[in-house]
Amino acid sequence: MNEERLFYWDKLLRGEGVDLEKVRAMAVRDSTDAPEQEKAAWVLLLAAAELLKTGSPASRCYLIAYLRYCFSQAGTAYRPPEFDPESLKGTGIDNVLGTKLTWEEALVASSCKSKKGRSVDYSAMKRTEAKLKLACRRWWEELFGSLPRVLEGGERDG
Amino acid sequence: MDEFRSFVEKVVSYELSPRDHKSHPSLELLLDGLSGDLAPDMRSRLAAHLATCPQCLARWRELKESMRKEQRLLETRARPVSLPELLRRREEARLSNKVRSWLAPVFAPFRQRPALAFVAATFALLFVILGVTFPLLKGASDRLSSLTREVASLRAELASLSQGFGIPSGIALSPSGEELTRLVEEAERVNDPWQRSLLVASFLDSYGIRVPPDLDLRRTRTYTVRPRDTWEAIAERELGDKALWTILYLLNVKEVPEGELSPGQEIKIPERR
Repeated sequence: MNEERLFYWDKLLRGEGVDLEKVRAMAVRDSTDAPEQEKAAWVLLLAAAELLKTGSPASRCYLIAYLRYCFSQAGTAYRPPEFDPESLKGTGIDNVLGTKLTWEEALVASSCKSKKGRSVDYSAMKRTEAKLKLACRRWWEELFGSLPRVLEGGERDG
Repeated sequence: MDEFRSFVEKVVSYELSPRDHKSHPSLELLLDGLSGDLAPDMRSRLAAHLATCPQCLARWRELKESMRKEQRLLETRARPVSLPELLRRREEARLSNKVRSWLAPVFAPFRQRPALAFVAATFALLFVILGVTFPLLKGASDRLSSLTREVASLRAELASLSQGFGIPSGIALSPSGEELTRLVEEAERVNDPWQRSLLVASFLDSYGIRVPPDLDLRRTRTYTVRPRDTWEAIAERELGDKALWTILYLLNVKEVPEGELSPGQEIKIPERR
């Protein structure tokens, strides 16, 4: 199932919408009696897919930047010669993997607009993380009931 | 929040951990993916495989780098081309390929046997040389024959004219005044009268001029030149043949050195026997 989830992750990183119901059905089918890691993977995917579907354009942009930031930190470090974060616009996992993007580069790679003269918006990262955490909690409760310790605490979605 | 970040990182790391794959994408599929020719779903499937297959990912990056270098090379060489120009080039390339495919079977034996190709090239060169030089030579030859014919016809015309005036063909119609003066000077240097007259006669004969037998050059009478008289007019009137003006001139060359007649001037005219 890992490759199936990566298929959807790639679409999310590209900013393409995914069929949330289809992903949910797969998660329900395959995560019963699955290890915690599998459950966490499904929950994070569902949360990201939901936020991308329902969020405002700005929050969607920050979410994509956040996902790219996280995926770029995984894998062996690799940056092509004359690397330019703008070249990552519209690309998926294959191009992001191992690039070790900074938050600023992730914003550039995702075409997130910032106000002129304003420094890098680090708070956007925190806001995105908070929204993602809330969504994860909601999905975890819906699918598996009791929350793991990592998702406990923080503001409840109103 | 850092705890949640760690949660996300763990999930991502779990998702991207390398796995054993039963099958791998073909080179063609990788190239299609790199050139953006894959459908979105197929493209994401390929990305999902690459994310967990280090070998394929390394190959993918290698191909991508090669393509990038090639693209850079093309960009430095290429210049913007208009659409009509592009279409024209494409059509030319299509035609060129067609011609090449037609010629390929012809040249195939030559590639295998260079000696045969050399012989064929030599023959082709000879053929070209002959093809170019023969028409040129033929043209020159034709022009030469036409000129020869023209000269022949002119000669025939001249001959007919000469016959009409009693002059042999192939010679000048009349001696010049200079030639006559030179003749007189030569004749004066000859002491023997017989030889002198032979010299003058042979000179005149070379111009087809024959002294009539009834004309006695040793006996002369005086003639006074009239207005508008010429050597030829006097010869015609007094001797009956204007071609005999040469004889008149020879007889009077000392009295009229420049050969110019003026009214009232007296010249010698041979008597008839």
